[in-house]
Amino acid sequence: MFVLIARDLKANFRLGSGIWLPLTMFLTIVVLIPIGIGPDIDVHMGIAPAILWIGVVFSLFLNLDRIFGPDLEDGTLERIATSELPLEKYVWAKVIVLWLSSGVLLAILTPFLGLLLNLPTRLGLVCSISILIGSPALATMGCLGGGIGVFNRHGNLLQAVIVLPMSIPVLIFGTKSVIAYSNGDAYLPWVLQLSGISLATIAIFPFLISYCLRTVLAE
Amino acid sequence: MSTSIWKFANPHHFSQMVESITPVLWVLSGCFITIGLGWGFFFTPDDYLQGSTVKIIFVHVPSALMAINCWLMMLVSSLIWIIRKHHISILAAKAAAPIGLSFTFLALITGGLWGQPMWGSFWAWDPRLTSFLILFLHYITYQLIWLYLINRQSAANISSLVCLVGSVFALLSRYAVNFWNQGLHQGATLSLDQETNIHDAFYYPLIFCIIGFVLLFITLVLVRTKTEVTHNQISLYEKLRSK
Repeated sequence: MFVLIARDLKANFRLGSGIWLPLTMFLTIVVLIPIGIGPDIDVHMGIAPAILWIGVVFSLFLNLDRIFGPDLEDGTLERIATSELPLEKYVWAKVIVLWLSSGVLLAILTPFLGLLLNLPTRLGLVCSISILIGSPALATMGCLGGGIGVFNRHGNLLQAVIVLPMSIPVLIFGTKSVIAYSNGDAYLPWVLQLSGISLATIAIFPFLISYCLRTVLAE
Repeated sequence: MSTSIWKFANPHHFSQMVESITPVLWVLSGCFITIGLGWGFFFTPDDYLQGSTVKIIFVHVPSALMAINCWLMMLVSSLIWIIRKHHISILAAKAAAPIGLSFTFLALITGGLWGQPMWGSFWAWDPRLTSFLILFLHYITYQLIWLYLINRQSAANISSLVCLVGSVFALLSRYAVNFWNQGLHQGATLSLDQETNIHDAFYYPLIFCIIGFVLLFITLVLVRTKTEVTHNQISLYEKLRSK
C-alpha cells in the first residue's frame, strides 16, 4: 500500500499536471470572482471564506478521470484486483494520494490567496485549517467520482457533476466554522461536524468505490 | 410463497399484474384528483389574508410529499437491487426517477408562484426550500447515471450506489441548512402529533388530492416499469437475433 502511495505521488509530482492543475484552477477562481464582483473590498471580505471553499471544491474535482483511468487502461487495476491486496486498500491509497497532492497543497495556498481577498492573516490561517480538516472528505468524494467516471468515456464533466451535490454539507460546515470564528461565536461544533463528515467518508467510501471498480472489472 | 411480493420479481407475473390493475388505478387516481382539485379550487372559501392564492396548496403539498416519498421508494428499490439483484426493483427505481423529478420541480414552481405575492420573492434561501433544491440536484445526478452509462448492468449498480449515498447526503444537507436559522416557510401543513392543522375547509379536499397524487404516482411507476421491462426484452431479442 505504501508502495502504491509512493508510486502515485512520484508520478503526480514528476508529471506536474496532478499538482499544478488544481493549484492554477484555485488561483483562477479566486481571481475571477472578485473581478466579477468589482473592487469593493468590504464585499470581498464578507464572502472570502465562501470563495476559498468553493475554489477548493472545484479544484479538487477537476481531473477525476485520471485517478483510476490510467490503471484501468494499462491493466494495473486487474492485476491488483486479482492480487492479495484488498481493493479497498488500493482505493484508500488513491484517496491519500489525492488528498496529499491536491487537498494539502490547496490548504497551504489558502492563506496567501486570502490576502488577495483582503482576509486578515489570522482568519486566512483558520480558513486553511478548516480546509485541511474538510478536504479528506472532498478527496474521498472525488475518488468516488473517479470510480463512477471510469464507466463514462465521453468526457470528464459527468463525475464532477455527480459528486458536487455531495459536497454541500462539507461546504456548509466549512464556511460556517470560519464565519463563526470571525464573529467570535462558538466555532468548535462546526469544526467537529466537519471532521465527523471527513472521518465517516474516509471509513465508508473506500468500500463504495471498490464496488464501482468491481463493477467495471465485471463489464 | 405464492402470495409473497417476490412473486412479482418475475417479469412475466409483474407485467400481467400491471396490465390487470392499471385501468382501475387510472380511473381511481383520476377521480380522486378531479374531486380534490375541483373541490379545492371552486368550493373552498378564500383565505382572509392570502386571498385565492391559498389554493395553490392543493398542488403544492401533495407534490412536495410525493417528491420525498418517491426518493424513499427509489432508495428501497435500490437496496433490494444491491441485496437481491431483482431486475424489476431497479427498473422501478429508474422509472420513478423522472416522476420524482417532476414532482420536485412542481413543488418548487408552485411554491415560487405562491411566494411571489406572499413573501415578495419567488425564492428565499430558507432551510426547507434549500433542502428541496438539493433534493432536486440529487434527482438530476441520479438521472445522469442512467443517461450516460451505456452498460445497463453497470448503470443499475452505480445508480443504486448513487441513490444510497445521495440519500445520506441529502438528509445531511437538510439538517445542515437548518442551522442557518432563517425559517420563512411555515411548519408542517399536516401532522399526526399536532393539534393545529389547517382548517377543515381546506383539510378534506387536501386529503383527496394527496390520495389522488399517491395513486397517480403508483400508476405511473407501474406503467413506466412495465415499459422498461418490455424495452429490456426487446433489446435481449435483438441481441439473440444478431448472434
